Amino acid sequence: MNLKEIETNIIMSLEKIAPEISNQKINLDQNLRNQIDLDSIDYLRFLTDVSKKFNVQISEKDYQKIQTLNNLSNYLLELKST
Amino acid sequence: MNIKNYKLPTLGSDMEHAIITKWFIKNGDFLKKGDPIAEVETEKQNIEINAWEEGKVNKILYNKGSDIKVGTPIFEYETTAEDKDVKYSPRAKKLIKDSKLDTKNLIEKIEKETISGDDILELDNPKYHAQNFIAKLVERSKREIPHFYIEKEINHQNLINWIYKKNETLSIEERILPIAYYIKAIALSLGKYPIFNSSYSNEIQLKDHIGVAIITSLRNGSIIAPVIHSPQTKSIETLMKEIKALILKGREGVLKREDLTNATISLTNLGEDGADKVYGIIYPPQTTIIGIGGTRINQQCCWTLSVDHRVSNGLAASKFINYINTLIINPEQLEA
Repeated sequence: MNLKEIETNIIMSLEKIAPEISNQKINLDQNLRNQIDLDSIDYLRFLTDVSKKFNVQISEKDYQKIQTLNNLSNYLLELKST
Repeated sequence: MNIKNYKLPTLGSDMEHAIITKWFIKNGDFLKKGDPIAEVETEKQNIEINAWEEGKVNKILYNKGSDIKVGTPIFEYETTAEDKDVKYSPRAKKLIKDSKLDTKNLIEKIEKETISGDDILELDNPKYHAQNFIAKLVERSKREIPHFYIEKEINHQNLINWIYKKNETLSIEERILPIAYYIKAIALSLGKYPIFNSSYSNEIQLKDHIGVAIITSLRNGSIIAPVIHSPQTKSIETLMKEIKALILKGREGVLKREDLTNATISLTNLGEDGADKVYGIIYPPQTTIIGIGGTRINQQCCWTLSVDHRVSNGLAASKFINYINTLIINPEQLEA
């Protein structure tokens, strides 16, 4: 999976929780939670979905590193390539 | 003078009947538009119904406690008000015919001479009903309940560290959020200060059961209040599972009756990035609502209580919130 494919998959997970974002442009470098208004339960659901889809464990101490769409895509790319 | 019947209005597209729990009027009373008529209990919650137009109450047709179908006349009144002369578009007529709604009553709310199909669709929209429902409830709350408020800064650092440590060993599906601890702390504190787990309608009634309603906003802007029952008897893990399932059901619009009834206290939680504090409006017949503000510097968080002053006082409320504080700063006590 390349970076673009990862991004598309992440957006699909986001759309499950916030369907209205399908016609909205997501800023790649802005905090995802604030941008899409995800509360802590939404966010946990979103990360659970992502971790299942990519078959990875996202540890809580990494939350700081994955706040934007770009950060999260790169984080997943790195996890998948190691 | 016209003699008219006041029919039990529908308060939601899924409402079929309701029980009259309280009459605010008696025979011979003069009513103004908007005056409270009765409190009715629907499957969702207690709600007040109001007069549509002015008039004099002739005859009340049912006693308190009666279970009544939507559309049944509940009292007779005399009025000089004429029926509103409104026109309907052909599409509006068709929608009214197909709808289960008591459109005559609802149409009173549209201040227009010609009613379009879109007006009817708007009335039939669940979001409209949810907002209308909450609007009536909070209006009544502020009118009837003498609220008082207290607040306390609670430090969440121990709790955050505790959860962080616990989550290290858990898979992402099992991960715990602070809300599970908040609810457990509230429930255990209610066990010690049961006056805040009460209802009030003419007299104080302490509740045997604890049901914590979590005020949750939906993406369409409306709010729901799903209920966690008996949290004092459940482990943090069970509570977390239940909270997640309940909120998911709420977001998908598939909550069941038991998920929305029998709340004895409410919680409104702004989330970590939220404003500093929130003072909630009590949901009658409950007597307390707890508000948790956003996380500030050094994991300080402001908890507030809004309490019905007919039921309790500032001193008791202080003890209650201090007890919650003790539990939050000693999270291991919430694991039992």
